[in-house]
Amino acid sequence: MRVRSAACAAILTATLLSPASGAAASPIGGTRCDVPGASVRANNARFICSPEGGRSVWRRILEPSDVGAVLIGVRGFSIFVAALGLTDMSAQLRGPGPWTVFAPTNSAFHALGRPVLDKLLLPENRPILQAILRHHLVQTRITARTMAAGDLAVLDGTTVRVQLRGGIVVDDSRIVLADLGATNGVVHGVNKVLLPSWFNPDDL
Amino acid sequence: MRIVAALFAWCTLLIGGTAAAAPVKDALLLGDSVLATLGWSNEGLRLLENRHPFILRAVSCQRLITEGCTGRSKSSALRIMRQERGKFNRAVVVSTGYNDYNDGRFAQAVRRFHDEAVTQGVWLVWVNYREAGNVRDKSQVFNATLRRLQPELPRLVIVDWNELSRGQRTWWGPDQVHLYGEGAVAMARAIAEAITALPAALPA
Repeated sequence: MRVRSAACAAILTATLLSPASGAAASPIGGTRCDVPGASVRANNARFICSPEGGRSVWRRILEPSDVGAVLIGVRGFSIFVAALGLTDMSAQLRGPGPWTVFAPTNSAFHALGRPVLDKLLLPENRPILQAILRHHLVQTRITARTMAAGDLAVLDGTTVRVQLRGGIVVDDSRIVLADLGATNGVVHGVNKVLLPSWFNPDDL
Repeated sequence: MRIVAALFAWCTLLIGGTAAAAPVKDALLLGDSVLATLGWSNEGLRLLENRHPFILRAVSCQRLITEGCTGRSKSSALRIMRQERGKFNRAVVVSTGYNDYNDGRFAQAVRRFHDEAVTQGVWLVWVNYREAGNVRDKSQVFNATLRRLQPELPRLVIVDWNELSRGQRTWWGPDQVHLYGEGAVAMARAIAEAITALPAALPA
């Protein structure tokens, strides 16, 4: 029951935070755009170009357009956004930064398996979830172009290894969507959740 | 004396002006009739050009390392890459191979492109193949070969076109492989995102 309610809370948070419904009501929201991650100001609101399958469309985002707002505005990251909300880290990401966020896609979270994901979202596992999320944050701005091979210090006090093999590989996760720009940093979508070496799903 | 100097300066400017090289582009796109549709798609061309200036060399019947099947595709894609050396500096994008035979030489072709990418100091971005229509079997073999080779070829970046395009019904002509306009835009976007995600540094 608790597992279900935690999952529901996450989904509800993501749904409430989703700007899609608001965007559709705007003259620009929902129309096609060319450059994923680009943002414009129109109709007294800010919009981000959100890649959605075969096309990209303008989605309304919150202001200021910090990394938190960008993550909410771009589709495919709702689980990460929900997890940030559950651990009160959204507020941190609204701070000055600058941040580099390796944001796992929803598919990356699903690849963990439903039981692991559900347990991670339980209230008693909040510290673990928070540590894992902090493992995705670097307190400096690094675009894909400036990414170099080597170890990067992440916010949980450990490091992630960046390799330039077949593009950019962070630990064993690949950057699949690069350089979503924000006022206080940059977001890179990654195809796997970055798990610290101490994490063992069986311990949950 | 002053007149001679002025004449000399004028001649220098004139010669310099006529010899000015075209600006170096980000990428060279090599393709066959599948990619050639991009040349007819204003939206796709604009989308890609706005993010990454490129050279498009797409011709029907193009093959990878051997002559194509029409007179216009007499030069192999690899040969064109060599001819265009110095005109692009970030990536060569290969979106051809549908006209090649499944004769066991595909891996050799990929390796030769990789060698050439190393020589030219660029990334090798390979758009994999639609596993559909009458090329399904061949595409499955080629895609598996690309996945197998990627760990040993550090500059090889695979755009998973087969996955990205799965379930899209409006992107294709009757053969399920050749693109309609919407598919060309989607391919342009996929290529643009792959180039954006490339670091300036190259693997050793």
